[in-house]
Amino acid sequence: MRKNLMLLGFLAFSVAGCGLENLLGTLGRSPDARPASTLQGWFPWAGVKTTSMVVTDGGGNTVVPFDTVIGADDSYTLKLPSSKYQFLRVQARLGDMETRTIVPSIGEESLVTGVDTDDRNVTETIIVEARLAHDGQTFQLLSPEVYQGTRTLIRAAFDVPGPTQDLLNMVGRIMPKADPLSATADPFFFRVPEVGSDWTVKSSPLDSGWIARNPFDYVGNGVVQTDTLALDAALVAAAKLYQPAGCIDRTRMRVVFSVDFNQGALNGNGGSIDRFKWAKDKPGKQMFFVGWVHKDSPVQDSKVNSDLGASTPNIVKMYDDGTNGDEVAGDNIWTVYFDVPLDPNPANVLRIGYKYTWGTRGAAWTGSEEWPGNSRIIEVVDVNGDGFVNRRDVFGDEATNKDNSNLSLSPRNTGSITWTTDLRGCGPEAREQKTTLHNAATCEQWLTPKSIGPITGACTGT
Amino acid sequence: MFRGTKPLLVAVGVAFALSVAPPARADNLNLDISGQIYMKYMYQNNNTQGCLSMSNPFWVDNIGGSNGVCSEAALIFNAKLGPKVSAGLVIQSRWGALWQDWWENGDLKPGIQDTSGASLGMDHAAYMKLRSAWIRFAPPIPTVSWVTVGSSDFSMWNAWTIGKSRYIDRYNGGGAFVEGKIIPNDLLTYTVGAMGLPKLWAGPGWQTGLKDSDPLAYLWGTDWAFALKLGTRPFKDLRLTLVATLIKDWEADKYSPMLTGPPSADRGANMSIGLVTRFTGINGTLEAVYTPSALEWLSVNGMLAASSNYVNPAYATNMVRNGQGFSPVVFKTNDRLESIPAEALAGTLTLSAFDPFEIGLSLQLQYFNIGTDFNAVMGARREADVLLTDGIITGGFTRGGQLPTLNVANEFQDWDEPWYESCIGWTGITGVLEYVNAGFKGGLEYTYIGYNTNMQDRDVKNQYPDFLYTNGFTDTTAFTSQADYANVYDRGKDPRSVYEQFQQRSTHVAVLNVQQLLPFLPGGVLNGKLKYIHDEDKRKLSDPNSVYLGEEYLGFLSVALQPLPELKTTVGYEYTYWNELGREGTYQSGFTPANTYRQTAQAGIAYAFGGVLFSYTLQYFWKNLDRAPANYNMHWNVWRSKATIEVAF
Repeated sequence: MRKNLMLLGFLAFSVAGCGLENLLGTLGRSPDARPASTLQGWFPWAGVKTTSMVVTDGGGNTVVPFDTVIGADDSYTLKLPSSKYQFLRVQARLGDMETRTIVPSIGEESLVTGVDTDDRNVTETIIVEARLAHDGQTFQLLSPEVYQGTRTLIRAAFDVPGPTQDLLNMVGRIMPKADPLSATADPFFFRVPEVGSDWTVKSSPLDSGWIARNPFDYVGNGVVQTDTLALDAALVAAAKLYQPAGCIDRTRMRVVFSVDFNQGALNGNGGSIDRFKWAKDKPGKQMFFVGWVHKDSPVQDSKVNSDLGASTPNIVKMYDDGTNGDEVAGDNIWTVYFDVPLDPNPANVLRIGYKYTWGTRGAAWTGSEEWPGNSRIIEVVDVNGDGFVNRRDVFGDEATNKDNSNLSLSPRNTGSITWTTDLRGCGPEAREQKTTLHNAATCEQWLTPKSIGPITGACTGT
Repeated sequence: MFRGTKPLLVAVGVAFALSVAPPARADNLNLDISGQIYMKYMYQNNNTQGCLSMSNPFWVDNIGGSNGVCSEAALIFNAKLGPKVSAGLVIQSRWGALWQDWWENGDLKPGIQDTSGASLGMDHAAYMKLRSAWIRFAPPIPTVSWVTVGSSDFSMWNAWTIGKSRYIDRYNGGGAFVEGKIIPNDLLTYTVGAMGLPKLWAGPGWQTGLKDSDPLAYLWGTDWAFALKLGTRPFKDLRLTLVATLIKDWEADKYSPMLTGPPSADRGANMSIGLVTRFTGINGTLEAVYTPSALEWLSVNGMLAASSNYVNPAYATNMVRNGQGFSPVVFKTNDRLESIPAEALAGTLTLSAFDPFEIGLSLQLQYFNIGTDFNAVMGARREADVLLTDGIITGGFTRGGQLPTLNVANEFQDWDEPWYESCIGWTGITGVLEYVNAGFKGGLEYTYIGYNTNMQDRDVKNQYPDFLYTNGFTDTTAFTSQADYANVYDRGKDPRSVYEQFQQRSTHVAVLNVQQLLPFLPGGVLNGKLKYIHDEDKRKLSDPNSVYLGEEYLGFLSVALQPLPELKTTVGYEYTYWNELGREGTYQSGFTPANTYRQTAQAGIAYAFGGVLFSYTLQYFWKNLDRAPANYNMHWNVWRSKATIEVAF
């Protein structure tokens, strides 16, 4: 009996050592699901499924789903790599028809439903596309919040007689004409409309050759249409009613932070920077922003403080993929932006403390922050009046915007900076400044973001 | 002092000593300390320095080179704590410090202009390192004979599963092992073990998670191999051995909620991170050895092996696609391009008749068949040989063998050491006749090799590694690490290359070995070898101009003398001629022939005196590689030598 107990004990001991925990712990374990930004919707046509779905973001970049499921119940699910996206357009192709549906925004690890490829979404899309073309705007410059106002107006108009409903009905009559077996390279409808600043339609959503070959009454007035003129006119009439770009919002300010993480970028003294003096590099790291409402700020706003990360490192991620305000994917300049309230009284300026961390999500300060015990500071003041407060920094730079133990060689350096300290003749370090690419020592030109616009508000009419 | 106080103090002292003494100690500690000193001198008429002919150029490694002299010392401790408990350790200096490395302290200063001469890194500092530590004991637990924890060379398994570590790695592996007997009288014995995976070579990309080698992986401390060996002798004439091994290279699940977002319970984060498989290797062998008592001259050995290797492409960079076809594993996919295990069987059957007619004539026959996808990723990498044949890669001076792995290691070795080739996909038969009579011993071999890997338009872009250089006899003599990993000097086929895009290959090998004692010379022995290889690969069957036809003619002769009991000398000569049609080229531009003429002369002495062993070998080789007009001709005129002196105490 004793020997048997010893044997059992020995075997149990063996199981507890030498990697067997890993072996047993992974038995039957399924890998964690990949985090996704998920789109779900329905096809309006039964029986025939599209074989091609493409998603593009507001900048026109293709976002490749890592998982696509098209259900037998005419539903579909697209799983995109988890991120924050704006103005996705979901394009579904069925033979000679292409539908497009706008998703104003989707967050990380989130789900947006109702992205249906139906006549209402197609009509909304071509209205917005036509209006943006007329205005010389792009989806990239739109604000999702503002767009929601436009969407609400369009969708309300679908249900009452008028130009918008007329267009909807035309689209609804055209869609059933799709030939799912067609192998045409370009869709016959609905193409992205091109509308000039004088409201002339340069390119119709409907292929003129197709309607000439397949004339039918898409207006619903008993007259067979052989061209696109009626559709184009309805489209222009509807597009004139909406302003998806919205109107400038004077009550808020868009604050953009970007940090240059390129090896060789120069610090405020024109010298080299060891990016990994404090931060440690390892696979899977990326850039994060961490900020807070500064204790010296006349405005203390808990929501802004929370949005900025509330002093918790490695939570608010920055982007280097050409999205979310980042202008060039993969250039190692990481960007994030925040929309903060503006007080009408200029004396009540919002002051922010912040810094950058090279880390993994949820990691601690140590090993990720650009330097310990210090922070960067900034006042939300639009110095150049472009509608942004835009601050560009170089990661690990200890000679510009570093509040204590500042290593600037400038004779103006007292070892620390205040809200008015001007170290390099570029204006206060705690304000937005002109910048020079990869060089924090000089300030040559103002940077105005090109991939995002200033904050706008919903316009309530034409 | 008061009367009686002293005995009381003694008693108290003894009691105190007993109370603070360890609860147990060795009954009779027997500590044996021994040592070794080894020195090596190398010369070659080139511009390299170091004490290792072939190092590895793929990382910061500055110990390779052919001119220099180095020393190595080891201290070996063996402690016997009792009849059932022992332990040991080895402390050994790191190899690489040249005698010219005065003041070298390993103070590496990368990126800084440094004139100190003390900054080549620790490999040049001859630091002492704990190379081995082990504990071995025999607890009174049913069935358990021995438990070993610590360093091991993994020699308890076999070359088809987990092979014995190569000589230079013999101290590096570690694990826990239990061996015992379930049924007495050898009816059922067992050995089980768990071993830490070597992070450098036992996985896709020759590593198990070195972040600078593979951006998809970074975790290697969680990786283990597990093994089981069962042995039985159901009756006296038959011995069966089953070995099964499992290699698990795990990585942290990169989609763990802990790594992808805030540690919120709503997201499923629970302060734990699961593991997912980067690589799984499963190997098994069943070996039977039958030696009938009634026919003592007969021995039959059969072995069946299986392997399954799965690579998770989400955690292992595809080195077939991204590493120019250099990969120790196959990245197999199905029709939907999903990663699937590469699985195959292998087997050998060997019949040995040892002098059945009692006239000195013995016979060995071996059938071998190794599947296309067989691969023992942790199998023996060198210093083993699984086939009877002399093979293709061996020469006269050059020894070697065949191993069923893509992980063959012909690096970190000197020019006089054996070479090994992968035999994955080989199928055929070998016959060896051996005749011994008085001072004469002769062996005649014929081998036919077919290839399971024969295939048209194999996917060598994404799935099967071809190691870039797929044809031409491998010149082991002219191989240098500095240039030939890139094959700058056109040394022929990579010994690991078993897959080609287009292959329809067959090989014939014939070898004659003779050994004759020379009684008129002191300790005289004459050795001779003749070898012929006919290696044909029709390559692309639709393109008759793509045929490769290689013929090797090799002659080797050496004489060994022992003029004094402590002195041995050897002198020898080898001539090799390779006539190769279609050796070089491409399917687009066509293939061109090459002729290789190589002569090698070598002389050596070995002197043993009072525990000191000295040896010296001098070699000259001359080679012409005629490739014109397709490419320029090349010529070798190389002198090199190697001397060693060692002592054990």
